[in-house]
Amino acid sequence: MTPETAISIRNLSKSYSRAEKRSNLLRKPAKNESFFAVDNISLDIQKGEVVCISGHNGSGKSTLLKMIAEVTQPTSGEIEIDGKVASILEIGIGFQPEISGYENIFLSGAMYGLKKSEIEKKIDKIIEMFGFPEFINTPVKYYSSGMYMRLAFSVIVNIEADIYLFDEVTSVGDTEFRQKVIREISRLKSQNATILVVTHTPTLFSKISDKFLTFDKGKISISNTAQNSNNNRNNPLHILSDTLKQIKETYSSEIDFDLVEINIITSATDLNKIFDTNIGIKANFKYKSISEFTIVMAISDQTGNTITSASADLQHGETDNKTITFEIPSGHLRPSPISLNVDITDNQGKTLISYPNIANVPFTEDITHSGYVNIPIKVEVE
Amino acid sequence: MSKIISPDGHIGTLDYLKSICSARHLAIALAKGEIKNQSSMNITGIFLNIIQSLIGLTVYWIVFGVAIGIDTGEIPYPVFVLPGIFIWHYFSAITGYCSNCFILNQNLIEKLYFPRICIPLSKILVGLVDFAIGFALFIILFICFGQSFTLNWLAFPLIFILIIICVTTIGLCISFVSLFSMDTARISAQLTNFLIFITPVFYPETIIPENFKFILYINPVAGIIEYSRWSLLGAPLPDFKYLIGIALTICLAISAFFIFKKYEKRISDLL
Repeated sequence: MTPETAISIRNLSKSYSRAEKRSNLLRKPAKNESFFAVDNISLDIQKGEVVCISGHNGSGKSTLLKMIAEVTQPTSGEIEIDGKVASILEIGIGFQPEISGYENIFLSGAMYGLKKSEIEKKIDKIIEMFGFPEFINTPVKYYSSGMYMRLAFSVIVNIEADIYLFDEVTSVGDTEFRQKVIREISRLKSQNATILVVTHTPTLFSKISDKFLTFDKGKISISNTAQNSNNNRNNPLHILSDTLKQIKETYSSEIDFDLVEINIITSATDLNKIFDTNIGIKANFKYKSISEFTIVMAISDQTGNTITSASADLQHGETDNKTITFEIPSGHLRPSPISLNVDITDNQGKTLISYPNIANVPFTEDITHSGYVNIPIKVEVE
Repeated sequence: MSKIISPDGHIGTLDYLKSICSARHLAIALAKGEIKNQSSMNITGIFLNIIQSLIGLTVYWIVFGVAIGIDTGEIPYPVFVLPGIFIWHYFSAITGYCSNCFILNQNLIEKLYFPRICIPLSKILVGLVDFAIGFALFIILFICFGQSFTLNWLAFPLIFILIIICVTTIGLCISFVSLFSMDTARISAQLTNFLIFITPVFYPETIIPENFKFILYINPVAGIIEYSRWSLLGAPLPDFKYLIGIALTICLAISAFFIFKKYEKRISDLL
């Protein structure tokens, strides 16, 4: 561990038992089957780095944070931490509903290890950040959920620590609150704090993060820094038939339809330049269908909002490996992380199979201008 | 200054003591929050508490003092019985609080690290409120019944420390057991209902036959009640054999501390 390292994780694993029920006095615990929530992870995080961690539910990202926060113990491996850790695994944790906002500031400050005198020094700043000074003496049970969040968050960002752990902080609150969270995190970053963020919406943090990790089944499946995302070895542009098959298997077998392969074709060799060229999307099908159906291809941002979509109607019958190509001419999409969704619907518009997020074009280096599509806007200055 | 988190979770005794010390604010803040949450701190709450104690006291007076006619010597029965009641009440309240304190605070434990021992310790502080109300009521009755203060009162702070030690031990043990069995809360509630009768709360220890007295000697609560009667009511100094129970409790207190130290990091997984 070098002096620049804030967190050094070596061969870290955490296993949980899959016991069905909690044991009680009269019954022996059910047979212990264990599984690894975090599976042999090694990772170094430098001081002042912002690391954004994403992944499916149950992929072990929160467990990793809990181990760094000392809430739970690793099964094997080691974590070495240099600096004081503030773990915000949930906003508003430990608030007592019956007592006033003012008293809750002290309570939750004490939970994060602040002394009374330290909180007293910051109380004005916290109340100012909270933004509703007239409600500070009201029991928090009368607060709206937004006010509750704001109060809790105001306390959190006033904890002085070297390392901050945030778990799903942006999944609550409105857009304004989210932006506030991002602002505060970038403020903490400017004070050279090390920050780990677990989120399902990594786009929100794309500007301030130095490193992106994606977890899958307890392992780090994708690790890229903002600097080297262009030499990403995992090709996101080619989706294997196995993945497609797996998705289909979750549906009833009555649908005689197989999406064999999806390719995103581009002449760009550099992923960052993908948006400068025509993007073609080629899907290979095998289908046997008694009725007509429609294939809908939608491009969405990482929060799931559709940017644009296109569809093609297919005739009933039996075909092997039919190929459908969607092509987006160059210059229409702005460089931004996008994901591709394919839906198969019947002619009434009812969705039969949905392949969500089957391809992700990852983070690009330059997301300076916001927005997803290029619409010719005339600008005149007089 | 770097910290290593490893699977064995070993904490040095001194470090553990230090971490508890630095977390005392948290224990106090938790207790404060909870006292206010229980809304027993508002005027109606205190009033209801006093009414409840008075009703209880009247019932015991009628049943044990008048109907059964337990002999308490020169001390009027209500004054005699009250110290026993508020001390016993403290113990039984802590047993109740601690038997589910980890389960009730599960969310907190799974999201934030702090010395886990703070949770049962904060309950000890919560129980002190009722204890103080009981004590105040006792002083009022004591004066109303025309009793006079003796020098023995000076020993009460010492007995109070003993009460805190015993309550803490019982709280820690119960809360620890509750990690392993969901039934702890119900079993301990039944047990306290029963144990009150083999503790000299309603009666003086003199009515217990000599060959059964060993039950009282190993019962720390019996010892504490007897010593507080000696201190507050000027009853004769209890048999030194009562110290057996108290010594046992102190041993248990030390082991409870080390057990908590050992399991500290594992508590969130045990829940």
